[in-house]
Amino acid sequence: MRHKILIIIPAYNEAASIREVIAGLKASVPHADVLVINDGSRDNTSEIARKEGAMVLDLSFNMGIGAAVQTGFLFAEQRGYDAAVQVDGDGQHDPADVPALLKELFETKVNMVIGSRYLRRNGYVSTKLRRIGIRFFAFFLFLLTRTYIGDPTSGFRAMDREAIRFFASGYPSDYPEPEALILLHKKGLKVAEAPVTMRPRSGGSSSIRMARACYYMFKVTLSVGMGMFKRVE
Amino acid sequence: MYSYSRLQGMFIVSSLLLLLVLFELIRRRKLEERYALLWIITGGAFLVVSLRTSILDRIAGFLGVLVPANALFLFGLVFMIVLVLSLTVVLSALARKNDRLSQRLSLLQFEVEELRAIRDKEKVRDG
Repeated sequence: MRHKILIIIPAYNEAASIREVIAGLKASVPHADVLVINDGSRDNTSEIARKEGAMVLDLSFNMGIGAAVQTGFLFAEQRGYDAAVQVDGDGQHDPADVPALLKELFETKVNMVIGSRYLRRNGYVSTKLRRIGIRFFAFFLFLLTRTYIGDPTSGFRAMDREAIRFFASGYPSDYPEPEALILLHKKGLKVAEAPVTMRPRSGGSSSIRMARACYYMFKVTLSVGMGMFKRVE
Repeated sequence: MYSYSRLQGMFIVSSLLLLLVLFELIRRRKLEERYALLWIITGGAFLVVSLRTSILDRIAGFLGVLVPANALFLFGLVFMIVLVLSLTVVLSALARKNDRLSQRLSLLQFEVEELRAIRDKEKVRDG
């Protein structure tokens, strides 16, 4: 029996790159449904995505990546998908890596597989400063969960039914990726990594700019730390 | 007999004014009772303290505040902090609910479009 797969693409002003992302996914994972969550874009991301044959959810206003992705989990849960893969709309993630993530998910029986850019160092590995930040979170998360995830900020991830249901009921708001790992750990769900190749962004601009870097470090450290004390349903 | 100083008179008048404004806001449904509670308690406390300054003197003496009026400012400041904190809590809850609403709306919108497409297809098929 074939698994029912949903690709979730959160997109905010990604008109420049969304077409290529959807086309790539249709080629690499033809049996999967593609869902774009248009997070209040001011450009025509939504129209382009529809024209490319993706399903589109239009949010009323920009809610941030966490709430956007969570909408995708709600959709996946309501419609009984077996797995969901989160892929960025900016072209940073290679659609060709999706089958490998899914294979890892179904074969290892973990609840979530994260696409890590550090397991095979052949693509874009981000700037030096960001790598230091990512290393810090990887170490911090390892101390708390005793599971080493080398690329905890990666938003390229595949989830099974259990993880989908868990995230549909509650997902962190902004910069949610590292905190989501803590919440999964508290829920007792398992996480693994698989190698992927990341590309520099083909459109848009990175949401983590220098001015936001401090806020990012502070917010994520706080939410990862606090995540250990939060109740999970 | 109490002799009221001008400052004390001002405090009495302002706390009465505050209570009056609260009364009007609640009556016009511009302020929810549950959020007004903190304000009413504060307005009431201010009124009591400004009518009976001996209470303030005693509290100031207990805390070791030299000028009793400073104790009043201290309470005002504490009240502001508590109020702003409670507002932030309310705001966080509102923001979360707002997000949930928008998420549900987008899911419903999708379903409406989907059903409409099915209906249109049936219309074409049935002539």
